[in-house]
Amino acid sequence: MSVSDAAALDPQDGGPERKWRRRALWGLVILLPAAILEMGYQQTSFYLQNNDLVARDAEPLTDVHFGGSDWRLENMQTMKDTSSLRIPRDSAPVFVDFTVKIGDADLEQAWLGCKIGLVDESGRSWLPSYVRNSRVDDMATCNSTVFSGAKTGDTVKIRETFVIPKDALETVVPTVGLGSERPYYLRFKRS
Amino acid sequence: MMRWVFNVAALGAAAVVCYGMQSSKPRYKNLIAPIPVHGSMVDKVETRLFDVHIGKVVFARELKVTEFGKQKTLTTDGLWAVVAADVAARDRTTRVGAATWLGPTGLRFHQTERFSSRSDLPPISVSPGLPQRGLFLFELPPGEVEGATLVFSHTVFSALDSQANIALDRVPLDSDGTPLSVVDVYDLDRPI
Amino acid sequence: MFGAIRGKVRAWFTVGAGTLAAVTVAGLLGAFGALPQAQTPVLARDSQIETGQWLVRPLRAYIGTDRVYDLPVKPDQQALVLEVEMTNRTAESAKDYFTLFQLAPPLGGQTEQPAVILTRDASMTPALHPGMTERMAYVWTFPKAVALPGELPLVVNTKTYKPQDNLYGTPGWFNERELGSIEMPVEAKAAEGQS
Repeated sequence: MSVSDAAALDPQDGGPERKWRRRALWGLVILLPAAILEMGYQQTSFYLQNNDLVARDAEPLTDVHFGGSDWRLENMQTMKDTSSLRIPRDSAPVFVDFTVKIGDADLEQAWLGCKIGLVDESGRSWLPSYVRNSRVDDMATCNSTVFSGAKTGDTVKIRETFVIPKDALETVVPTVGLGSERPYYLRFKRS
Repeated sequence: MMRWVFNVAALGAAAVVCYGMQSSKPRYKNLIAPIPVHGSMVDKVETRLFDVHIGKVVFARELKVTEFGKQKTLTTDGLWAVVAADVAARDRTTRVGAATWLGPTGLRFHQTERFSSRSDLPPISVSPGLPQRGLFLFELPPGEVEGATLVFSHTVFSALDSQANIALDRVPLDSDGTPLSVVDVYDLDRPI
Repeated sequence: MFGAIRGKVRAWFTVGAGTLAAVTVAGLLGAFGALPQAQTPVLARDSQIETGQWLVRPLRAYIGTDRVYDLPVKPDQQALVLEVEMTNRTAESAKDYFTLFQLAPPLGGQTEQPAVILTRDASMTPALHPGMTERMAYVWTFPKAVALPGELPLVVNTKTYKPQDNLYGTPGWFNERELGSIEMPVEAKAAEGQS
Protein backbone atom coordinates (compact mmCIF):
# COMPACT_ATOMS: atom_id res chain seq x y z
CA MET A 1 0.00 0.00 0.00
CA SER A 2 2.51 2.48 1.17
CA VAL A 3 5.08 1.38 -1.41
CA SER A 4 2.93 1.98 -4.49
CA ASP A 5 1.65 5.25 -3.12
CA ALA A 6 5.20 6.40 -2.80
CA ALA A 7 5.93 5.33 -6.38
CA ALA A 8 2.90 7.15 -7.80
CA LEU A 9 3.80 10.27 -5.93
CA ASP A 10 7.44 10.03 -6.93
CA PRO A 11 8.15 13.25 -8.74
CA GLN A 12 10.96 11.62 -10.67
CA ASP A 13 10.14 10.54 -14.25
CA GLY A 14 11.62 7.06 -14.01
CA GLY A 15 9.27 5.67 -11.31
CA PRO A 16 8.76 1.92 -11.91
CA GLU A 17 4.98 2.19 -12.40
CA ARG A 18 5.28 4.91 -15.02
CA LYS A 19 7.98 2.96 -16.76
CA TRP A 20 5.83 -0.15 -16.98
CA ARG A 21 2.85 1.83 -18.14
CA ARG A 22 4.90 3.17 -21.02
CA ARG A 23 6.23 -0.29 -21.82
CA ALA A 24 2.68 -1.68 -21.87
CA LEU A 25 1.52 0.99 -24.28
CA TRP A 26 4.42 0.28 -26.64
CA GLY A 27 3.66 -3.42 -26.26
CA LEU A 28 0.22 -2.79 -27.75
CA VAL A 29 1.82 -1.46 -30.91
CA ILE A 30 3.44 -4.85 -31.43
CA LEU A 31 0.79 -7.13 -29.95
CA LEU A 32 -2.27 -5.80 -31.79
CA PRO A 33 -0.87 -6.32 -35.30
CA ALA A 34 0.52 -9.66 -34.18
CA ALA A 35 -2.92 -10.75 -33.00
CA ILE A 36 -4.54 -9.62 -36.25
CA LEU A 37 -1.92 -11.51 -38.28
CA GLU A 38 -2.38 -14.64 -36.18
CA MET A 39 -6.17 -14.51 -36.60
CA GLY A 40 -5.98 -13.81 -40.32
CA TYR A 41 -3.35 -16.45 -41.02
CA GLN A 42 -5.77 -19.35 -41.33
CA GLN A 43 -8.09 -17.52 -43.71
CA THR A 44 -5.21 -16.25 -45.79
CA SER A 45 -3.60 -19.65 -46.15
CA PHE A 46 -7.00 -21.16 -46.96
CA TYR A 47 -7.46 -18.53 -49.66
CA LEU A 48 -4.01 -19.15 -51.10
CA GLN A 49 -4.38 -22.93 -51.07
CA ASN A 50 -7.72 -22.92 -52.84
CA ASN A 51 -7.28 -20.44 -55.67
CA ASP A 52 -5.17 -20.34 -58.80
CA LEU A 53 -3.64 -16.92 -58.35
CA VAL A 54 -0.06 -16.81 -59.64
CA ALA A 55 0.61 -17.99 -63.19
CA ARG A 56 3.76 -19.89 -64.15
CA ASP A 57 4.31 -19.70 -67.88
CA ALA A 58 4.96 -23.02 -69.56
CA GLU A 59 5.99 -24.05 -73.07
CA PRO A 60 3.83 -26.46 -75.01
CA LEU A 61 5.38 -29.72 -76.18
CA THR A 62 7.86 -29.78 -73.32
CA ASP A 63 7.70 -31.62 -70.00
CA VAL A 64 6.81 -29.30 -67.16
CA HIS A 65 7.15 -30.61 -63.60
CA PHE A 66 3.96 -29.70 -61.74
CA GLY A 67 2.16 -31.32 -58.82
CA GLY A 68 4.72 -34.14 -58.66
CA SER A 69 4.26 -35.20 -62.31
CA ASP A 70 5.55 -34.13 -65.71
CA TRP A 71 2.89 -32.35 -67.76
CA ARG A 72 3.23 -31.97 -71.51
CA LEU A 73 0.71 -30.03 -73.55
CA GLU A 74 0.41 -32.07 -76.75
CA ASN A 75 -2.08 -30.02 -78.72
CA MET A 76 -5.22 -27.94 -78.73
CA GLN A 77 -7.75 -28.37 -81.53
CA THR A 78 -11.19 -27.26 -82.55
CA MET A 79 -13.68 -28.61 -85.12
CA LYS A 80 -14.82 -26.90 -88.29
CA ASP A 81 -18.09 -28.73 -88.67
CA THR A 82 -20.00 -28.53 -85.41
CA SER A 83 -23.41 -29.46 -86.79
CA SER A 84 -23.29 -32.85 -85.04
CA LEU A 85 -22.72 -31.26 -81.65
CA ARG A 86 -25.46 -29.71 -79.56
CA ILE A 87 -23.69 -26.49 -78.70
CA PRO A 88 -24.84 -22.84 -78.92
CA ARG A 89 -24.51 -20.85 -82.13
CA ASP A 90 -21.29 -18.87 -82.53
CA SER A 91 -19.50 -21.26 -80.22
CA ALA A 92 -16.82 -23.83 -80.92
CA PRO A 93 -15.52 -26.89 -79.11
CA VAL A 94 -11.89 -26.98 -78.01
CA PHE A 95 -10.10 -30.23 -77.24
CA VAL A 96 -6.95 -29.94 -75.12
CA ASP A 97 -4.60 -32.94 -74.90
CA PHE A 98 -1.97 -33.55 -72.25
CA THR A 99 0.48 -36.38 -71.77
CA VAL A 100 1.34 -36.76 -68.12
CA LYS A 101 4.17 -38.89 -66.77
CA ILE A 102 3.12 -39.71 -63.22
CA GLY A 103 5.76 -38.99 -60.57
CA ASP A 104 4.08 -38.69 -57.18
CA ALA A 105 1.46 -41.45 -57.36
CA ASP A 106 -0.62 -40.09 -54.48
CA LEU A 107 -2.86 -38.29 -56.95
CA GLU A 108 -5.76 -37.82 -54.54
CA GLN A 109 -3.45 -35.59 -52.53
CA ALA A 110 -1.24 -34.07 -55.24
CA TRP A 111 -4.03 -33.43 -57.76
CA LEU A 112 -6.67 -32.39 -55.26
CA GLY A 113 -9.24 -30.14 -56.92
CA CYS A 114 -7.61 -30.52 -60.32
CA LYS A 115 -8.79 -27.67 -62.52
CA ILE A 116 -7.91 -27.44 -66.19
CA GLY A 117 -9.23 -24.33 -67.89
CA LEU A 118 -8.91 -22.00 -70.83
CA VAL A 119 -8.17 -18.31 -70.50
CA ASP A 120 -8.19 -15.66 -73.22
CA GLU A 121 -6.24 -12.44 -73.51
CA SER A 122 -8.91 -10.36 -71.78
CA GLY A 123 -8.84 -12.65 -68.75
CA ARG A 124 -12.11 -14.50 -69.36
CA SER A 125 -11.84 -18.14 -68.33
CA TRP A 126 -13.74 -21.32 -69.14
CA LEU A 127 -14.07 -24.63 -67.33
CA PRO A 128 -14.55 -27.95 -69.15
CA SER A 129 -18.04 -28.76 -70.33
CA TYR A 130 -19.54 -31.99 -71.48
CA VAL A 131 -19.96 -32.53 -75.21
CA ARG A 132 -21.24 -35.86 -76.45
CA ASN A 133 -18.84 -36.73 -79.19
CA SER A 134 -16.80 -39.71 -80.39
CA ARG A 135 -13.64 -37.70 -79.87
CA VAL A 136 -14.25 -37.45 -76.16
CA ASP A 137 -15.96 -40.67 -75.19
CA ASP A 138 -13.63 -43.05 -73.33
CA MET A 139 -10.96 -40.38 -72.93
CA ALA A 140 -9.55 -39.78 -69.46
CA THR A 141 -9.96 -36.37 -67.88
CA CYS A 142 -7.93 -34.89 -65.09
CA ASN A 143 -10.43 -35.86 -62.42
CA SER A 144 -11.01 -39.36 -63.76
CA THR A 145 -7.24 -39.94 -63.73
CA VAL A 146 -7.09 -39.17 -60.01
CA PHE A 147 -9.17 -42.27 -59.30
CA SER A 148 -7.75 -44.44 -62.09
CA GLY A 149 -5.07 -45.98 -59.86
CA ALA A 150 -2.18 -44.73 -62.03
CA LYS A 151 1.22 -45.58 -60.60
CA THR A 152 4.60 -43.83 -60.62
CA GLY A 153 6.18 -44.06 -64.08
CA ASP A 154 2.85 -44.50 -65.91
CA THR A 155 2.07 -42.21 -68.81
CA VAL A 156 -1.51 -40.95 -68.94
CA LYS A 157 -3.25 -39.20 -71.81
CA ILE A 158 -5.74 -36.60 -70.66
CA ARG A 159 -8.26 -34.81 -72.86
CA GLU A 160 -10.43 -31.96 -71.62
CA THR A 161 -13.28 -30.53 -73.70
CA PHE A 162 -14.45 -26.94 -73.70
CA VAL A 163 -17.14 -24.94 -75.43
CA ILE A 164 -16.17 -21.30 -75.94
CA PRO A 165 -17.41 -18.43 -78.10
CA LYS A 166 -15.80 -18.37 -81.56
CA ASP A 167 -14.34 -14.90 -80.95
CA ALA A 168 -12.17 -16.29 -78.16
CA LEU A 169 -10.62 -19.06 -80.29
CA GLU A 170 -7.78 -16.82 -81.45
CA THR A 171 -6.29 -16.12 -78.05
CA VAL A 172 -7.22 -18.89 -75.60
CA VAL A 173 -4.47 -20.79 -73.80
CA PRO A 174 -4.82 -23.75 -71.43
CA THR A 175 -4.18 -23.50 -67.69
CA VAL A 176 -3.64 -26.26 -65.11
CA GLY A 177 -4.28 -25.85 -61.40
CA LEU A 178 -3.59 -28.55 -58.79
CA GLY A 179 -4.26 -28.49 -55.05
CA SER A 180 -0.68 -29.25 -54.08
CA GLU A 181 0.72 -26.31 -56.09
CA ARG A 182 -1.76 -23.55 -55.31
CA PRO A 183 -1.58 -20.53 -55.40
CA TYR A 184 0.65 -21.27 -58.44
CA TYR A 185 -0.81 -22.59 -61.66
CA LEU A 186 0.51 -23.39 -65.12
CA ARG A 187 -0.37 -21.17 -68.06
CA PHE A 188 0.78 -22.54 -71.38
CA LYS A 189 1.91 -20.35 -74.24
CA ARG A 190 0.45 -20.65 -77.73
CA SER A 191 2.57 -22.91 -79.89
CA MET B 1 -23.20 14.14 -1.49
CA MET B 2 -22.98 15.80 -4.92
CA ARG B 3 -20.17 13.49 -5.82
CA TRP B 4 -22.25 10.46 -4.87
CA VAL B 5 -25.19 11.62 -7.03
CA PHE B 6 -22.84 12.24 -9.90
CA ASN B 7 -21.36 8.75 -9.62
CA VAL B 8 -24.79 7.11 -9.71
CA ALA B 9 -25.79 9.21 -12.71
CA ALA B 10 -22.59 8.27 -14.54
CA LEU B 11 -23.17 4.58 -13.81
CA GLY B 12 -26.75 4.85 -15.09
CA ALA B 13 -25.61 6.61 -18.25
CA ALA B 14 -22.98 3.93 -18.87
CA ALA B 15 -25.61 1.21 -18.46
CA VAL B 16 -27.91 2.92 -20.95
CA VAL B 17 -25.09 3.32 -23.48
CA CYS B 18 -24.04 -0.32 -23.08
CA TYR B 19 -27.61 -1.53 -23.48
CA GLY B 20 -28.03 0.62 -26.57
CA MET B 21 -24.87 -0.75 -28.12
CA GLN B 22 -25.84 -4.32 -27.27
CA SER B 23 -29.30 -4.06 -28.76
CA SER B 24 -28.19 -2.20 -31.88
CA LYS B 25 -25.23 -4.50 -32.51
CA PRO B 26 -25.58 -6.12 -35.94
CA ARG B 27 -26.11 -9.86 -35.73
CA TYR B 28 -23.62 -12.24 -37.30
CA LYS B 29 -26.30 -13.16 -39.83
CA ASN B 30 -26.50 -9.52 -40.96
CA LEU B 31 -22.74 -9.12 -41.01
CA ILE B 32 -22.27 -11.95 -43.48
CA ALA B 33 -25.54 -11.46 -45.37
CA PRO B 34 -25.45 -11.45 -49.19
CA ILE B 35 -25.20 -8.02 -50.79
CA PRO B 36 -28.29 -7.34 -52.92
CA VAL B 37 -28.05 -5.65 -56.32
CA HIS B 38 -31.52 -4.21 -56.95
CA GLY B 39 -33.18 -3.95 -60.34
CA SER B 40 -36.45 -4.23 -62.20
CA MET B 41 -37.61 -6.44 -65.05
CA VAL B 42 -36.34 -4.05 -67.71
CA ASP B 43 -32.80 -4.16 -66.27
CA LYS B 44 -29.94 -6.51 -66.79
CA VAL B 45 -28.82 -6.91 -63.18
CA GLU B 46 -25.09 -7.43 -62.77
CA THR B 47 -23.71 -9.42 -59.84
CA ARG B 48 -20.12 -10.40 -59.12
CA LEU B 49 -20.26 -13.62 -61.13
CA PHE B 50 -23.22 -13.35 -63.49
CA ASP B 51 -25.72 -11.02 -65.16
CA VAL B 52 -29.39 -11.84 -65.15
CA HIS B 53 -32.34 -10.42 -67.05
CA ILE B 54 -35.87 -11.71 -66.59
CA GLY B 55 -37.42 -12.47 -69.94
CA LYS B 56 -40.84 -13.68 -68.99
CA VAL B 57 -42.96 -14.71 -66.01
CA VAL B 58 -45.80 -17.15 -66.72
CA PHE B 59 -48.31 -18.45 -64.17
CA ALA B 60 -49.81 -21.90 -64.60
CA ARG B 61 -52.06 -24.29 -62.72
CA GLU B 62 -50.20 -27.39 -63.90
CA LEU B 63 -46.80 -28.13 -65.40
CA LYS B 64 -46.20 -30.78 -68.01
CA VAL B 65 -42.74 -32.24 -68.51
CA THR B 66 -41.08 -35.26 -70.07
CA GLU B 67 -38.78 -36.98 -67.60
CA PHE B 68 -36.86 -40.13 -68.59
CA GLY B 69 -39.08 -40.50 -71.63
CA LYS B 70 -42.25 -40.41 -69.51
CA GLN B 71 -44.71 -37.58 -69.54
CA LYS B 72 -45.44 -36.20 -66.12
CA THR B 73 -47.96 -33.63 -64.91
CA LEU B 74 -47.17 -31.68 -61.77
CA THR B 75 -50.09 -30.26 -59.86
CA THR B 76 -50.11 -27.76 -57.01
CA ASP B 77 -52.56 -26.36 -54.51
CA GLY B 78 -51.42 -22.86 -55.41
CA LEU B 79 -49.93 -21.63 -58.64
CA TRP B 80 -46.81 -22.44 -60.57
CA ALA B 81 -44.70 -19.45 -61.45
CA VAL B 82 -42.37 -20.11 -64.37
CA VAL B 83 -39.65 -17.48 -64.65
CA ALA B 84 -37.60 -17.55 -67.83
CA ALA B 85 -34.42 -15.54 -67.32
CA ASP B 86 -31.36 -14.93 -69.46
CA VAL B 87 -28.21 -15.54 -67.47
CA ALA B 88 -24.68 -14.74 -68.60
CA ALA B 89 -21.35 -15.33 -66.91
CA ARG B 90 -19.12 -12.31 -66.45
CA ASP B 91 -15.47 -13.36 -66.63
CA ARG B 92 -15.44 -17.04 -65.76
CA THR B 93 -17.52 -20.18 -65.94
CA THR B 94 -19.95 -20.14 -63.04
CA ARG B 95 -23.34 -21.38 -61.93
CA VAL B 96 -26.59 -19.76 -60.97
CA GLY B 97 -27.52 -22.18 -58.24
CA ALA B 98 -30.39 -20.73 -56.25
CA ALA B 99 -33.46 -18.64 -56.83
CA THR B 100 -36.02 -17.45 -54.30
CA TRP B 101 -39.42 -15.84 -54.78
CA LEU B 102 -39.64 -13.18 -52.08
CA GLY B 103 -43.31 -12.52 -51.42
CA PRO B 104 -44.78 -9.09 -50.58
CA THR B 105 -44.86 -9.88 -46.84
CA GLY B 106 -41.36 -11.34 -46.76
CA LEU B 107 -42.16 -15.05 -47.14
CA ARG B 108 -39.35 -16.83 -48.98
CA PHE B 109 -40.33 -19.48 -51.54
CA HIS B 110 -37.33 -21.44 -52.77
CA GLN B 111 -37.23 -22.91 -56.24
CA THR B 112 -39.12 -26.18 -56.43
CA GLU B 113 -37.31 -29.47 -55.87
CA ARG B 114 -39.93 -31.60 -57.56
CA PHE B 115 -38.07 -31.93 -60.87
CA SER B 116 -35.14 -34.09 -61.82
CA SER B 117 -32.20 -32.17 -63.08
CA ARG B 118 -32.45 -30.51 -66.48
CA SER B 119 -29.83 -28.27 -68.01
CA ASP B 120 -32.22 -25.31 -68.04
CA LEU B 121 -33.14 -25.68 -64.34
CA PRO B 122 -30.84 -24.52 -61.55
CA PRO B 123 -27.98 -25.02 -60.99
CA ILE B 124 -27.43 -23.47 -64.40
CA SER B 125 -23.86 -23.55 -65.61
CA VAL B 126 -22.90 -20.53 -67.74
CA SER B 127 -19.67 -19.54 -69.47
CA PRO B 128 -18.39 -16.14 -70.61
CA GLY B 129 -19.71 -15.16 -74.03
CA LEU B 130 -22.33 -17.94 -74.04
CA PRO B 131 -25.48 -16.61 -72.39
CA GLN B 132 -28.23 -19.07 -71.62
CA ARG B 133 -31.94 -19.05 -70.88
CA GLY B 134 -32.79 -20.68 -67.58
CA LEU B 135 -36.14 -21.67 -66.11
CA PHE B 136 -36.84 -21.02 -62.45
CA LEU B 137 -39.94 -22.72 -61.07
CA PHE B 138 -41.83 -21.76 -57.93
CA GLU B 139 -44.94 -22.97 -56.15
CA LEU B 140 -46.88 -20.17 -54.49
CA PRO B 141 -50.25 -19.29 -53.04
CA PRO B 142 -52.00 -16.72 -55.29
CA GLY B 143 -51.64 -13.93 -52.71
CA GLU B 144 -47.87 -13.94 -53.11
CA VAL B 145 -47.86 -12.74 -56.72
CA GLU B 146 -48.42 -9.02 -56.25
CA GLY B 147 -45.35 -7.05 -55.17
CA ALA B 148 -42.90 -9.96 -55.28
CA THR B 149 -39.14 -9.82 -55.77
CA LEU B 150 -37.00 -12.51 -57.37
CA VAL B 151 -33.63 -13.27 -55.83
CA PHE B 152 -30.94 -15.03 -57.87
CA SER B 153 -27.69 -16.14 -56.25
CA HIS B 154 -24.65 -18.22 -57.02
CA THR B 155 -25.25 -20.77 -54.25
CA VAL B 156 -27.87 -21.32 -51.55
CA PHE B 157 -25.54 -20.00 -48.84
CA SER B 158 -23.63 -17.13 -50.39
CA ALA B 159 -22.19 -15.13 -47.52
CA LEU B 160 -21.05 -11.64 -48.50
CA ASP B 161 -21.52 -12.39 -52.21
CA SER B 162 -23.69 -10.22 -54.39
CA GLN B 163 -27.12 -11.47 -55.40
CA ALA B 164 -29.63 -10.09 -57.90
CA ASN B 165 -32.90 -8.81 -56.39
CA ILE B 166 -35.33 -8.10 -59.21
CA ALA B 167 -38.69 -6.48 -58.46
CA LEU B 168 -41.43 -8.02 -60.59
CA ASP B 169 -43.81 -5.96 -62.70
CA ARG B 170 -47.45 -5.72 -61.68
CA VAL B 171 -49.78 -8.12 -63.44
CA PRO B 172 -53.58 -7.81 -63.62
CA LEU B 173 -55.13 -9.98 -60.90
CA ASP B 174 -58.59 -11.25 -60.12
CA SER B 175 -60.19 -10.91 -56.68
CA ASP B 176 -58.20 -13.67 -54.89
CA GLY B 177 -54.86 -12.56 -56.29
CA THR B 178 -54.63 -15.05 -59.16
CA PRO B 179 -53.17 -13.43 -62.29
CA LEU B 180 -55.73 -13.13 -65.11
CA SER B 181 -53.11 -14.48 -67.50
CA VAL B 182 -52.82 -17.84 -65.70
CA VAL B 183 -52.66 -20.79 -68.10
CA ASP B 184 -54.08 -24.21 -67.28
CA VAL B 185 -51.11 -26.30 -68.41
CA TYR B 186 -47.59 -25.13 -69.17
CA ASP B 187 -45.38 -27.50 -71.15
CA LEU B 188 -41.74 -27.08 -70.10
CA ASP B 189 -40.58 -28.72 -73.30
CA ARG B 190 -42.47 -26.19 -75.39
CA PRO B 191 -41.84 -22.84 -73.69
CA ILE B 192 -44.22 -19.99 -74.44
CA MET C 1 -4.83 -11.31 19.27
CA PHE C 2 -8.60 -11.83 19.45
CA GLY C 3 -9.03 -9.32 16.67
CA ALA C 4 -6.78 -11.45 14.42
CA ILE C 5 -8.78 -14.61 15.14
CA ARG C 6 -12.05 -12.86 14.35
CA GLY C 7 -10.58 -11.63 11.09
CA LYS C 8 -9.57 -15.18 10.18
CA VAL C 9 -13.05 -16.57 10.91
CA ARG C 10 -14.61 -13.89 8.79
CA ALA C 11 -12.24 -14.74 5.92
CA TRP C 12 -13.17 -18.43 6.18
CA PHE C 13 -16.86 -17.62 6.01
CA THR C 14 -16.37 -15.31 3.07
CA VAL C 15 -14.46 -17.94 1.11
CA GLY C 16 -16.92 -20.66 2.07
CA ALA C 17 -20.03 -18.74 1.02
CA GLY C 18 -19.48 -19.33 -2.71
CA THR C 19 -18.95 -23.05 -2.21
CA LEU C 20 -22.00 -23.26 0.00
CA ALA C 21 -24.14 -21.51 -2.61
CA ALA C 22 -22.87 -23.84 -5.35
CA VAL C 23 -23.58 -26.94 -3.27
CA THR C 24 -27.09 -25.69 -2.44
CA VAL C 25 -27.97 -24.96 -6.05
CA ALA C 26 -26.62 -28.33 -7.24
CA GLY C 27 -28.55 -30.12 -4.53
CA LEU C 28 -31.78 -28.34 -5.41
CA LEU C 29 -31.34 -29.07 -9.10
CA GLY C 30 -30.72 -32.73 -8.32
CA ALA C 31 -33.80 -32.87 -6.13
CA PHE C 32 -35.99 -31.31 -8.82
CA GLY C 33 -34.52 -33.65 -11.43
CA ALA C 34 -35.49 -36.64 -9.29
CA LEU C 35 -39.13 -35.59 -9.22
CA PRO C 36 -41.34 -37.71 -11.49
CA GLN C 37 -41.37 -36.24 -15.00
CA ALA C 38 -44.64 -34.84 -16.23
CA GLN C 39 -46.20 -37.22 -18.73
CA THR C 40 -46.18 -35.86 -22.29
CA PRO C 41 -49.78 -35.29 -23.28
CA VAL C 42 -51.64 -37.72 -25.48
CA LEU C 43 -52.75 -35.83 -28.57
CA ALA C 44 -56.09 -36.42 -30.25
CA ARG C 45 -55.38 -38.35 -33.43
CA ASP C 46 -57.66 -36.47 -35.78
CA SER C 47 -56.78 -33.00 -34.54
CA GLN C 48 -54.45 -30.44 -36.02
CA ILE C 49 -51.22 -30.46 -34.04
CA GLU C 50 -49.09 -27.34 -33.83
CA THR C 51 -45.37 -28.00 -33.54
CA GLY C 52 -42.73 -25.30 -33.81
CA GLN C 53 -42.35 -25.25 -37.56
CA TRP C 54 -45.32 -27.31 -38.71
CA LEU C 55 -49.05 -27.70 -38.51
CA VAL C 56 -49.72 -31.41 -38.86
CA ARG C 57 -52.83 -33.55 -39.02
CA PRO C 58 -52.25 -37.31 -38.99
CA LEU C 59 -54.60 -38.94 -41.47
CA ARG C 60 -53.98 -42.67 -41.46
CA ALA C 61 -51.43 -45.43 -41.02
CA TYR C 62 -51.17 -48.63 -43.03
CA ILE C 63 -48.83 -51.42 -44.04
CA GLY C 64 -47.53 -51.35 -47.58
CA THR C 65 -45.66 -53.88 -49.69
CA ASP C 66 -44.09 -53.87 -53.17
CA ARG C 67 -44.29 -50.17 -53.81
CA VAL C 68 -45.31 -47.17 -51.74
CA TYR C 69 -45.59 -44.01 -53.83
CA ASP C 70 -42.85 -45.08 -56.26
CA LEU C 71 -40.66 -46.21 -53.37
CA PRO C 72 -39.83 -49.88 -53.96
CA VAL C 73 -40.12 -52.16 -50.93
CA LYS C 74 -37.92 -55.26 -51.04
CA PRO C 75 -39.75 -58.64 -51.10
CA ASP C 76 -38.57 -59.56 -47.60
CA GLN C 77 -39.51 -56.16 -46.22
CA GLN C 78 -42.68 -54.41 -45.25
CA ALA C 79 -43.35 -50.71 -45.04
CA LEU C 80 -45.21 -48.88 -42.34
CA VAL C 81 -46.76 -45.78 -43.85
CA LEU C 82 -48.04 -42.77 -41.96
CA GLU C 83 -49.90 -40.19 -44.02
CA VAL C 84 -50.18 -36.69 -42.66
CA GLU C 85 -51.27 -33.28 -43.79
CA MET C 86 -48.48 -30.75 -43.21
CA THR C 87 -48.25 -26.97 -43.41
CA ASN C 88 -45.04 -24.99 -43.08
CA ARG C 89 -45.61 -22.35 -40.38
CA THR C 90 -42.31 -20.57 -40.95
CA ALA C 91 -41.47 -17.78 -43.38
CA GLU C 92 -39.21 -19.87 -45.62
CA SER C 93 -39.38 -23.09 -47.62
CA ALA C 94 -38.10 -25.90 -45.39
CA LYS C 95 -37.67 -29.63 -45.07
CA ASP C 96 -36.80 -29.97 -41.40
CA TYR C 97 -39.40 -32.69 -40.89
CA PHE C 98 -37.46 -35.95 -40.70
CA THR C 99 -37.73 -36.31 -36.92
CA LEU C 100 -41.18 -34.79 -36.63
CA PHE C 101 -42.73 -38.22 -36.12
CA GLN C 102 -40.88 -41.02 -34.39
CA LEU C 103 -41.88 -44.57 -33.65
CA ALA C 104 -41.75 -44.80 -29.89
CA PRO C 105 -40.98 -47.26 -28.58
CA PRO C 106 -38.98 -48.50 -31.62
CA LEU C 107 -40.33 -51.71 -33.10
CA GLY C 108 -36.94 -53.18 -33.95
CA GLY C 109 -35.18 -53.56 -37.27
CA GLN C 110 -36.65 -50.40 -38.74
CA THR C 111 -34.85 -47.91 -40.95
CA GLU C 112 -33.19 -45.15 -38.97
CA GLN C 113 -34.94 -42.32 -40.72
CA PRO C 114 -38.25 -42.55 -42.50
CA ALA C 115 -38.50 -41.77 -46.18
CA VAL C 116 -40.76 -38.75 -46.52
CA ILE C 117 -42.72 -38.58 -49.76
CA LEU C 118 -45.00 -35.98 -51.25
CA THR C 119 -48.12 -38.00 -52.10
CA ARG C 120 -49.09 -35.58 -54.88
CA ASP C 121 -46.40 -36.83 -57.27
CA ALA C 122 -44.16 -39.12 -55.19
CA SER C 123 -41.34 -36.59 -54.96
CA MET C 124 -38.83 -37.66 -52.34
CA THR C 125 -38.36 -35.19 -49.48
CA PRO C 126 -39.18 -31.91 -51.23
CA ALA C 127 -39.04 -28.68 -49.27
CA LEU C 128 -42.50 -27.46 -48.27
CA HIS C 129 -43.35 -23.84 -48.88
CA PRO C 130 -44.76 -21.39 -46.33
CA GLY C 131 -48.48 -21.74 -45.80
CA MET C 132 -48.98 -24.39 -48.49
CA THR C 133 -50.62 -27.52 -47.09
CA GLU C 134 -49.42 -30.81 -48.56
CA ARG C 135 -50.17 -34.47 -47.89
CA MET C 136 -46.98 -36.36 -47.02
CA ALA C 137 -46.24 -40.03 -46.37
CA TYR C 138 -43.68 -41.11 -43.75
CA VAL C 139 -42.41 -44.56 -44.67
CA TRP C 140 -40.45 -46.83 -42.31
CA THR C 141 -39.38 -50.22 -43.58
CA PHE C 142 -39.04 -53.37 -41.49
CA PRO C 143 -38.13 -56.99 -42.08
CA LYS C 144 -41.30 -58.98 -42.71
CA ALA C 145 -40.68 -60.96 -39.51
CA VAL C 146 -41.37 -57.96 -37.27
CA ALA C 147 -44.93 -58.05 -35.98
CA LEU C 148 -46.48 -54.61 -36.39
CA PRO C 149 -48.95 -53.48 -33.75
CA GLY C 150 -52.58 -52.72 -34.48
CA GLU C 151 -52.27 -49.37 -32.74
CA LEU C 152 -49.13 -47.55 -33.81
CA PRO C 153 -47.57 -45.52 -30.97
CA LEU C 154 -45.92 -42.33 -32.25
CA VAL C 155 -44.14 -39.41 -30.71
CA VAL C 156 -44.62 -35.94 -32.18
CA ASN C 157 -41.58 -33.70 -31.74
CA THR C 158 -41.28 -29.95 -31.73
CA LYS C 159 -38.46 -27.43 -31.74
CA THR C 160 -37.98 -23.97 -30.28
CA TYR C 161 -37.15 -20.88 -32.28
CA LYS C 162 -34.10 -18.89 -31.20
CA PRO C 163 -33.44 -15.52 -32.82
CA GLN C 164 -29.73 -16.19 -32.29
CA ASP C 165 -28.10 -19.44 -31.37
CA ASN C 166 -25.21 -19.70 -28.95
CA LEU C 167 -22.62 -20.77 -31.48
CA TYR C 168 -23.04 -18.54 -34.52
CA GLY C 169 -25.63 -16.00 -33.43
CA THR C 170 -27.87 -16.99 -36.32
CA PRO C 171 -31.61 -17.60 -36.03
CA GLY C 172 -32.93 -21.12 -36.23
CA TRP C 173 -34.97 -23.94 -34.71
CA PHE C 174 -33.26 -25.84 -31.91
CA ASN C 175 -33.71 -28.14 -28.91
CA GLU C 176 -36.00 -30.82 -30.25
CA ARG C 177 -38.31 -32.18 -27.59
CA GLU C 178 -41.40 -34.33 -27.32
CA LEU C 179 -44.60 -32.42 -27.81
CA GLY C 180 -46.88 -35.36 -27.19
CA SER C 181 -47.81 -38.82 -28.36
CA ILE C 182 -50.54 -40.23 -30.58
CA GLU C 183 -51.74 -43.72 -31.40
CA MET C 184 -52.77 -44.41 -34.97
CA PRO C 185 -54.84 -47.47 -35.88
CA VAL C 186 -52.94 -49.43 -38.53
CA GLU C 187 -55.04 -50.45 -41.49
CA ALA C 188 -54.02 -53.93 -42.55
CA LYS C 189 -53.22 -53.31 -46.16
CA ALA C 190 -54.36 -50.36 -48.16
CA ALA C 191 -54.53 -50.78 -51.88
CA GLU C 192 -56.63 -47.71 -52.41
CA GLY C 193 -54.96 -44.36 -52.10
CA GLN C 194 -51.66 -45.64 -53.42
CA SER C 195 -50.90 -44.21 -56.77
